[in-house]
Amino acid sequence: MLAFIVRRVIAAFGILLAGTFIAYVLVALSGDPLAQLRQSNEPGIEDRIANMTERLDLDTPVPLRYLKWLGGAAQCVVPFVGTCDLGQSVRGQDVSALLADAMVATLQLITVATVTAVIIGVLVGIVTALRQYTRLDYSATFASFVFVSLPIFWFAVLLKQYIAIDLNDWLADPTVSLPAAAIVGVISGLIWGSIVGGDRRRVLTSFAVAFVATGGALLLLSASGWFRSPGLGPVVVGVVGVAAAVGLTAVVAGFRYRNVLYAALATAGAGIVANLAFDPLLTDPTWGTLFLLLLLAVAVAVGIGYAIGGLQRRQAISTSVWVAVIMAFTITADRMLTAWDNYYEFVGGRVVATFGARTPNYDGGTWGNLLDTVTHLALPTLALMLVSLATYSRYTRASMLEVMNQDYVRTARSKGLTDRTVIVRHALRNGLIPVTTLVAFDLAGLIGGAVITETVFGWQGMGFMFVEALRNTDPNPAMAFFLVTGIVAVLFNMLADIAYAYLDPRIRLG
Amino acid sequence: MTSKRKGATLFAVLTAGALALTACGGDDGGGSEEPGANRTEEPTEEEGTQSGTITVAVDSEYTAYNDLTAEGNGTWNTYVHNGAKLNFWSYGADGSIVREEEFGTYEKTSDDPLTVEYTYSDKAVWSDGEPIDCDDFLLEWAAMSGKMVDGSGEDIFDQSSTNGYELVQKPECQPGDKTITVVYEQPYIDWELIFQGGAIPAHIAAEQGGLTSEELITAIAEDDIAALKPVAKFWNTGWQFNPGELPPPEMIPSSGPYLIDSWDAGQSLTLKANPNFYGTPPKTETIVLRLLDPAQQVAALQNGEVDIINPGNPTPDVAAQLEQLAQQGQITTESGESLTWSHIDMQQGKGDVFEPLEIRQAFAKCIPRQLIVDNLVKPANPEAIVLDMREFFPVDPMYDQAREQAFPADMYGEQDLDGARQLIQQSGVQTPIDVRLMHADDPVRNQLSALVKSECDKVGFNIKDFTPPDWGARLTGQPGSYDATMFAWAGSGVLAAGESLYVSDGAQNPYGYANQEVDKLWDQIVTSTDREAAKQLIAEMEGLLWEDVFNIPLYVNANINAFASDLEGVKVNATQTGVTFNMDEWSRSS
Repeated sequence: MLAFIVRRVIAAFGILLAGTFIAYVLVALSGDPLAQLRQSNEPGIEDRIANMTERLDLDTPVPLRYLKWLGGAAQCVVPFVGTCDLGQSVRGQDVSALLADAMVATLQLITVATVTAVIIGVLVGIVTALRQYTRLDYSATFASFVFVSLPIFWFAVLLKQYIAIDLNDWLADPTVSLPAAAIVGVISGLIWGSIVGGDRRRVLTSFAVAFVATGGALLLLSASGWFRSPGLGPVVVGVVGVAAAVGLTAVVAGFRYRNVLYAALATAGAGIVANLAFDPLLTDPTWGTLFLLLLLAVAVAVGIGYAIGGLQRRQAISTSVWVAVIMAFTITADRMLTAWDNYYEFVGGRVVATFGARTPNYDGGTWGNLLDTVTHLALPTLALMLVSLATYSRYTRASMLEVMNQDYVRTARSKGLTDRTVIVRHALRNGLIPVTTLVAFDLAGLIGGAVITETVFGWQGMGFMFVEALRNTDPNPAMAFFLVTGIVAVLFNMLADIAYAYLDPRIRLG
Repeated sequence: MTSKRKGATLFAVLTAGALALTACGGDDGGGSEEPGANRTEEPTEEEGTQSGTITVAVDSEYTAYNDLTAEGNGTWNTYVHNGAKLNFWSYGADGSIVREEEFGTYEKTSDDPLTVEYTYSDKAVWSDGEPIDCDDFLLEWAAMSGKMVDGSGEDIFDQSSTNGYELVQKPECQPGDKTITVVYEQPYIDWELIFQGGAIPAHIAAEQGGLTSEELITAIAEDDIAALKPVAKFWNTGWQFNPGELPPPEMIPSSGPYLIDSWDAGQSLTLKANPNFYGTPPKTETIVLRLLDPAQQVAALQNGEVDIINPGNPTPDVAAQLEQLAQQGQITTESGESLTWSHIDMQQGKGDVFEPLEIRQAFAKCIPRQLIVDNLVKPANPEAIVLDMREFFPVDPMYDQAREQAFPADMYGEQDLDGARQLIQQSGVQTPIDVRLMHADDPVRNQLSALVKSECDKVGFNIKDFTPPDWGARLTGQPGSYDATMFAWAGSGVLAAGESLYVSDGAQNPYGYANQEVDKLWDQIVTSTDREAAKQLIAEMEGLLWEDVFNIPLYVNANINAFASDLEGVKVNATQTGVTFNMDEWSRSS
């Protein structure tokens, strides 16, 4: 393994060297950083042209300039030297500082999008694989093709119009009219009807139930003024906790032995109690406090699983921990919504933002600021997530179908194992191996900046920095972008290979 | 199974088709989707708070407090300093010079030698209470004059340009003096646009360089380069910032109505009313500049996240979208012009394609200038007209008079293909005449070039598009590589700016154009000290340029502002100082 890594790292250096050289030459030849100045006929413009020529070293031939740049950039890659020199932008800013800001912004943007896309995508993939050629499968296939083929710039405009501008307009007077509730009810009915599937009667029943439940809930929430000041409250938190406990148990352990279920339910109970008990602490906590509380919740869950789990101790512990984590997120969402009124007032009712990362000068405490971040992240995350979610679900589905048809799965079934055990224990693990590779590549691509998404949503990340650099014919930021994306691509390729070997014992690196 | 698959495929194709259709309709449908009629009734951003906030979108981020350095001199900093700095003068919305009497006054006391007396208002102080006076003026001169050179002959200050300042003899003043007299070594037409007065707080630079204000004044008076070096070092780099890294407020005091309050990198910059401001207080307490790509500004305005956008020279799409929103009463738009003017220049030296006057005249006659304006400018500015002048802009009150005097309307007032054909015949030049038309590779220029080609090819030209990425460097660097070129100059109120474009062997005249009368006129213009008289001479010179058909002006870029309907005081600014130029007059009516 070590030899493999060393070999790959050495190869990576060669690749990076060649790649940066080509990129540098291309960038240098792509345009004239002085173009803008040359179009000014203010007196004294020659001074400014001469100055910029000197600052950006434009008189040096490109290959020599590359070597100079490489000398500075190499220090960034060497750890612990701390003198990173990626040159200056045309506006005289230190590119390493620009780069640091851009990377933080990009990571912020892609983390949530990637995590949710992977979780939902894999789930959808598994479910559609298990229900192959059902209405649900067709619907999901259809939806994922729609999302994959959506041009993101156009999708982003739609999101801005409907999820931001129109939703905000509606929030000014949030009432759901009877026809509107009916329409949403029909849509919901169609979705559920296709998910549940079965014969005609079953479909009609699920359609009717979903129609009444959705439409009714909308009217009820509207009448009670929930949309004006939304929140969850301890009851919803409790319901979510219990549902998570039951659901996760069903997937992870099944109900044959009750120990796991009891542990999960006990964790949910502990969560409900903790939510009420820590109320004063949760009013305006620091992020540190929240993190400690999360650790505490996980520790308690482990304890409960250990104590109650009995023979199914391992499953009980992992189920409890997941229940605890889900409850922690629900409680966070619940608390975050307590800041709604304050935030709503500050932004003049324009809750969902179309661009940027923050509302200028808004400080609503931990919860208010979190809500602010969420409303700003909502659109770009949604756009990024839906597009990559579709890919994940397709890959997972294909890979699961392949695995499910293999001999060892048939053997497991004929041995009399339950469906759950066959799928979760035997099929899923192998089915997810190709998806791991996909996630690694995807991450590498995303860290390089979701160029279009970042531009459209005014997110000052890597992609935006790159586009901006191209627009201003600004060689150094463009090169910083290439450097980072190059390193990330090489690194994640290597990580994917290592992960592959780890997950699949048949593969040996070396 | 196969039939099922087929069905799915068909379905997918249908959806894709539907998507494509919606995409096409998106342009008019997207904006018009019932915008919520109640929008106007709902409270706009922070209406309830006493200290109102107005948010304006800008397209690039702040970088430097010192905008006199080579790096800091840029519009992105001007957007902020329009509020945070006040000077003896500023550009009006039409490029004219506005005297800022609240800050100070100036007066020309002699023409020979050109002598100007600057007087700071007694009340003028930096926001930290320090009076704005002698030291600030002297440091500006020292930094900009290029005369503070060290032993090796290197200028210790890294100023953007010494233009104008280098003609000024070292001013003399004592600490605390509010009146300073400057004497020019030779007359200079743009003397009004040289000294700013309130751009840089000398007391801060002195302190950072280890001097007191008094010591700084002495050091400049005595050319004490050793003492000045640390000051210069701070002046060069100390006010240049990495994103979001604003120094403590005492390092960046304000001479204007607003203070730079906070800066969130990549997001926004906040200006707060300056409590120590000595002039008319600004109308709104807080101005926020939010960074946003121009293409995304309309949605942000519609969503109420920004109150003012200035998409500059918008594409017809954006213009139409704004028009629609304005008709629905959601926003107000205001169109006007900028000082950026597009034109076609021709190589006319010995042996060049455009050497014969007739060919240049024919080219000027065949170019569909009215059509170009109708297609490319009018969507954004319905009042746009064909530009017939070079040094006068339609916003200039003198434009009509100068045009009357200089522009041969009977020759070039309208496109005249027959006339062009005749002229080419007269010249005896063989057709087709190959013309390599160099321009930037962007949609507007490509469209323009296509229009020129479709018309001028009819009369005997053969226009060939030439769009190298380094076209800017080729302009003066390789004048032999193109026959004609199309680009825009960014104009300003500086009169002397034109000189290098038109005089023989001028730095920005790589076209082989030489006319001794024009040269003579420019000699008179730049050494004149009377703006009005100089403008008369420029009009005269324009007449000569048209006689020679030196180049062909096309149009000035449109400039459009859009803002929330409840705002007052927002104005279109033709100059490059940006929409924020009068931010102290913005207010919300309620």
